[in-house]
Amino acid sequence: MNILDLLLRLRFFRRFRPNALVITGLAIIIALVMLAILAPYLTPYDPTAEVAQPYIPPFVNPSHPLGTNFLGQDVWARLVYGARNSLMVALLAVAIAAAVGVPLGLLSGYVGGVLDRVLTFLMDSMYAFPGIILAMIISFVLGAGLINVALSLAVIYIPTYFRVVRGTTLTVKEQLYVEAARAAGAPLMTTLRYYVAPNVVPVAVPVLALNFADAIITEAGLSFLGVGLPPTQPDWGVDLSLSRGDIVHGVWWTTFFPGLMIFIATLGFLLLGEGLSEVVRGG
Amino acid sequence: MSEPILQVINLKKYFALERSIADRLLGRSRAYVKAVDDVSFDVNENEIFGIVGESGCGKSTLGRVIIGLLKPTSGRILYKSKIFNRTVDIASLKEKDLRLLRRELQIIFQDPYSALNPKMKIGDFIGHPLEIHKIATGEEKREIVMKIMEKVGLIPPEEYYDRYPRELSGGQRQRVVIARALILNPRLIVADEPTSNLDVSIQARIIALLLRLKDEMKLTYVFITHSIALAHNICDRIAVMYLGRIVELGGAPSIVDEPLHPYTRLLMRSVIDPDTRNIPRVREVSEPPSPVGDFRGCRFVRRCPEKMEKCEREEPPLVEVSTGHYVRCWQHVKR
Repeated sequence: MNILDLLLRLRFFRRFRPNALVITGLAIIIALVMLAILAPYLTPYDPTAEVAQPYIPPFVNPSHPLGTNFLGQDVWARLVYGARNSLMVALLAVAIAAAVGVPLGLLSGYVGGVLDRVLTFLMDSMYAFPGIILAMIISFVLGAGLINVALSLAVIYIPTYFRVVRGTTLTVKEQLYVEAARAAGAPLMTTLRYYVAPNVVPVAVPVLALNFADAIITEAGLSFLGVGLPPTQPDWGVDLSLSRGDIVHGVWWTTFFPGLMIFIATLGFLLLGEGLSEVVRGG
Repeated sequence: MSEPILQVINLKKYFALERSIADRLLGRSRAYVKAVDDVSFDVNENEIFGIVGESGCGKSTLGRVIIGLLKPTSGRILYKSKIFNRTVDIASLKEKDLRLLRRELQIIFQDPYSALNPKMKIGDFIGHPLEIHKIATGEEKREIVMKIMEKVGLIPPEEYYDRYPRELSGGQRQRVVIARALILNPRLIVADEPTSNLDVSIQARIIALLLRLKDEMKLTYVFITHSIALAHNICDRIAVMYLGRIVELGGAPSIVDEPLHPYTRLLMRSVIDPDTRNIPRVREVSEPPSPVGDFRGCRFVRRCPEKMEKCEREEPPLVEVSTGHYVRCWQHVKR
């Protein structure tokens, strides 16, 4: 009996019948989350401490299975603690973006009129801006740090939620049961909360997962460019950045493993997102 | 005959069509759909007032406007309210007061497949108006809901209370819609083609239910339908609508026994008789013209088999031919 079996028994999955994509994606994500949570038990080392000689290659020294970097920090320790930072930033970014974008999309779509035009114009302008450049600017202004990176990522995702939610709201608001809410005398907020939102929000779920994937890779990019997390933090993007000169000396492991983690994490969330959108579409 | 509970006076509801950018630049004026165009009638307490017409004639819009779900373009809707203890004009009422009036004015929707919130349990859906108006919550709400469910034939109520709409058949769904409309103990109900999306065998049962509930709860119905046969069966009075106008209005028997307007006669001929020898040969097969824009003359002139030269030029007034029987046709205007 493992965690996946348990998850599959949940009501959610009985109702939505997950496909192979969802299951594979979830398996990867759960493994990553376990890595992040159990980090202190998976390695005895402090990821920021210089614990051995620099540049020990991987798979030779059993106490440093993935080797050490130019400072003599343990690569494995930095990977597992890095998972915490990457996932935390992505989680925060997606949560903030959804918390702002979903209600705005609902309101804009349902109320319509001038409010809708103004919000749509604002969101389209944001959307038209290349994401990573916008994030770089915001991150640069706010300064390095976990919360600040999350905020700058959130800003670039808000329009995505806004668009998806607004579009579906336009369809749902034509349904008779929304008129039934008005016929019962429900005020605007009651109508939105009980009649519109429950029928709209599910479409945002796949976007959540896809944005998660994007957030991880963009955060790594920002950190690589020096406008993300501070260089002392264990983080996949930071590690890539710090070790980028190593490859020319034949030291491949200090960049390969963080890169691999970014790849795996992104893949996991992409699979989940794609799978979920198939489920939501009824595919 | 009791006095009117609702008086509709010169009611108009126009929908503005979206103009394209080119139209705006060229300064073209907005085009309007005149869904309801200068309609007046009374509804008496405890009667069933039928509004009959084909799709697109504005009958559903009219139904929504008279209970304040849509704001009219102009006109008055005088309603003798119990809550306010006076006659109010629904057309000029504030949003807050309109919400209060929802306890007296309700609607039964046409399509029970889209009228139920798919994310709400049946019982919660029926009982939600009680919470919205802060009448009852929790156990108390459950009790009231159970009672009304029994009344509309969702029996046993415990079995339906916690189900979701997708688990119900069309007839059951329509019972849920009716239950929700009745939960606040309303006085006037607009029934917007309540049976047209149901199987024929179920239609009769829903109609019987509506008639029983009318007596039990002292209701007044404005019954919207495209079937003049159904209207004849259950309504006290009938208004025949064509392109936003009332073309004939009168007691149900006199409308059906001696239809005066050519359009009413067309509707009568289209009633299907199971005896195939009696199937009428309807010469008239054209669709109603678009309700956009202005009309000169009688609106029915393009389809009228009895049109006269005058009909093209000038619209006839609504005249009273016999007591309570009105018609809008030049044939019946006395010179």
